Amino acid sequence: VSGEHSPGAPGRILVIDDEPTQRLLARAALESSGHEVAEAAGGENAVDLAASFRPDLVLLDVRMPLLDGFEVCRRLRRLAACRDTSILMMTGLDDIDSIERAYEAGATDFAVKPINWTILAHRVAYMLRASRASMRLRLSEAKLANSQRIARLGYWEWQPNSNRLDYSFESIQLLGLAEAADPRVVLDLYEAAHPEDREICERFVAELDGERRLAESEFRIVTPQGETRFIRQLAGITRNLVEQVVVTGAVQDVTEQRLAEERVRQLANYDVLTELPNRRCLTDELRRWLERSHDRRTRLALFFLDFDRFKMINDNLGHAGGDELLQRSAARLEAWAAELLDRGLPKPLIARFGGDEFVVVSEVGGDTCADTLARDLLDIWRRPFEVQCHEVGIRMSIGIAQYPEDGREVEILLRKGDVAMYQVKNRGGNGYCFYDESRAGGGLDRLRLELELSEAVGRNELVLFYQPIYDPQHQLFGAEALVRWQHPQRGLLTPNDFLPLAEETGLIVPIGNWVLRELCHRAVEWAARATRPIFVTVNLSARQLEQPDFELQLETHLADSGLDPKLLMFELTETLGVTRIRGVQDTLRRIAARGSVIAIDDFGTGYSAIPVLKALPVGAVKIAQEFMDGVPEDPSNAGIVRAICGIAHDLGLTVIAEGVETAEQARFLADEGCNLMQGFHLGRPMAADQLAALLETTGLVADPS
Amino acid sequence: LQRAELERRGGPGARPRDGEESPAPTASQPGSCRDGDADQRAVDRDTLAALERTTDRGRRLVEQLVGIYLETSPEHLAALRTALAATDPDGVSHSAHTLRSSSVTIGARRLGELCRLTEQAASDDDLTLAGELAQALFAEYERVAVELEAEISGVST
Repeated sequence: VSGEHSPGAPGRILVIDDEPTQRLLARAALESSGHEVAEAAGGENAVDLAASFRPDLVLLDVRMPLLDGFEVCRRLRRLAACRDTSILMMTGLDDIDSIERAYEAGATDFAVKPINWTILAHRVAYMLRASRASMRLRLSEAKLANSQRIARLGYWEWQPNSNRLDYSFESIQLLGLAEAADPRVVLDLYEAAHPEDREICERFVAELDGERRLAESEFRIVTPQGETRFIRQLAGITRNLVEQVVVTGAVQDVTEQRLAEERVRQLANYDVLTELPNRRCLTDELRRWLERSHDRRTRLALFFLDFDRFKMINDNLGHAGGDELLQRSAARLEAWAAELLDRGLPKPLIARFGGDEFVVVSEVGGDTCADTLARDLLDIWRRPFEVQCHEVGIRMSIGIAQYPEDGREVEILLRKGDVAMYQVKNRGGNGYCFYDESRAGGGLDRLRLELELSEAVGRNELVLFYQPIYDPQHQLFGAEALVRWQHPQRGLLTPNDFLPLAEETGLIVPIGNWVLRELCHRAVEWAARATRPIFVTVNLSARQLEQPDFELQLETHLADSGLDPKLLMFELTETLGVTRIRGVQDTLRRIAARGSVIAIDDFGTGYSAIPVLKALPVGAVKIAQEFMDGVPEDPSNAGIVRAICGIAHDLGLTVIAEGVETAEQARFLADEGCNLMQGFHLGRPMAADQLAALLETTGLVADPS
Repeated sequence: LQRAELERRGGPGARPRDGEESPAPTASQPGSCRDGDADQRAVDRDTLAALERTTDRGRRLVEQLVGIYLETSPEHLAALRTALAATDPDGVSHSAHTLRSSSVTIGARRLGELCRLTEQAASDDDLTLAGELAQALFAEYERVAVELEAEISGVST
């Protein structure tokens, strides 16, 4: 089949005519031009045929029996296969009415009968070209619309000259406008903009008028469903085919990106557990606070908060319990901050610094002073927490560093707050203190100290000192062993300098074990040389006792040294609390059964002195040093001492007095029937060698010669 | 009068309907021999020749067309008669219309014009006129058929 009669690519053509000569002619003419032809004699099967043949063009006779051409045309248009097909209707020359009806039925064009088939073949080529172009256009539009829909991208176009606004359906949706919206000017597109972002949109439109070539903005919209979404918009000024200025805008939904970014920011800056700002966020924010304070000449206080004995809480409640406690603490802190704001006071900055450390920063001055805030903060934890059906009491240590007095930089203030916090810990915790340059002079870097302490045993830096204990007749009864740390840089440190840290970090266990071993060996030496028994007493921490292998270790040390357990006295602090004492009751009973004495240290300062005496195999009590103040002149302390001695004797317990500093005190104690005493008046703590020398000078040692 | 009307509206030659033109033959005019020839012939040979050139099927297409025409026309003529007898204007109109388009296609101009007039008279509900026109139409068809038979059997007329 030659295509020489008409130019252009061949197409698929359906001829619908009830007249066979017309169909034959059409087929002959169109096939001569290379087209593929199908024919139908009537409207009924024409529609079915069209659905399967998918013609590019239909030649349709108007006048046919049963189903006329107009109806066929309408039915063809309803077919998906023929929605874009060109339909050429063949009408009578004088039939203007038919031409109009054909147009209404959706015909593309009309041809007047009788048809000049040579001409028609050319006309078909023209029509096919036009329909292919529009098909390509429609296809490319559909592709573009699809990709825009997938990319959540919309566009609009504004012609300032004619003030005409065109826009894609997608952009209406993206901009959160109702489907019925009818924007006429660019500003109408931003009807759904978030109230706070409306100004951004107005500025954007103003920029467009200002002949800027490219404008960009981002704003939030509120959809008809009440959802907030982030929209990014770009607009450029171009010229159209007739050289008119056209502003084209592209609208994109960037909500997912923004949410992802927000999530990253959240993760980077906020603590997952408590949702408080984390250390990094605190550092950034504090830097801004400092700059602002500098500009406004205001003052700041930084509170460094740390739970007392948090490790113990974690050990007892498990990590889940510890986490819950931290969450609840954070909630209380935030409630407190909100309350301050309600009272018209500056809202503090609250952050979780790490582990069990929180940092609070507040402006101070006027009605707000650091002392008040610190007391407020301590109060927050005064009410116990209910965690996993346990009532948990928390105490905090709070160190305070102030801007500008203590420093002007984030790191310095944080460090000084930490140092001050550690000073509180040294004093036993549960309190607050301001950074004090003179006290911090030793550079009590907690972390370093902890590291060093953990190595102290291995490096043989610990030493035992012994304070002699006498009976009222001034006969040497024995000595209390006291641990000292011979720190390579800081010199000799007393138990107060490092034992709270040891207790808190658990290092007390290896240290206590070392102390016991050392003590046993030393005591055996003395016992071997002395003419009468020399007793040794030592403090025992609950934590040591709670170790499952404590008894085994004690046994080992006793066996290794050969020390008679009867010469050993263990001092327990009753401030341990009843619950913990119950847990170690059996261990203590076994120790006592082997002959060692259990003494209650600092008797009278705890909560439940008497029940403890009943529950435990106690053989002695030590009167706390604080009750010796002003004795015997101070009637109140003297009364307490007298009462303790009375109770102890009634219970058949030995009474030991500590902190005896004067001869009067010694006499008073002797008069009250105190069995043993120790103190500066009688003898300071001394090295083992010195004690050995003392044994010799007091004639308690058999002459070695 | 009816005859005159017939002559005026669609006389021999099937002239454009300006009504002023003389229905008289123009055969005597020099140089118009083909027109004169067409007046005498029922089927216009130029039309057939043009059809022959229209497609790459050439003469074969003309033969096919004439074949189909001769085969299908009797049906339409019969339908026309039936419709006239039944006084059915729509039937008359439709049959005349169908016959007309194929007649024009194969060059039977006068027959085509008679079909158009019959169709129109039926559309105007003037079945008396349609009936008279139909008689002329039937006669003309006989002439057309003879010429077409000769055309496809290769006999020159």
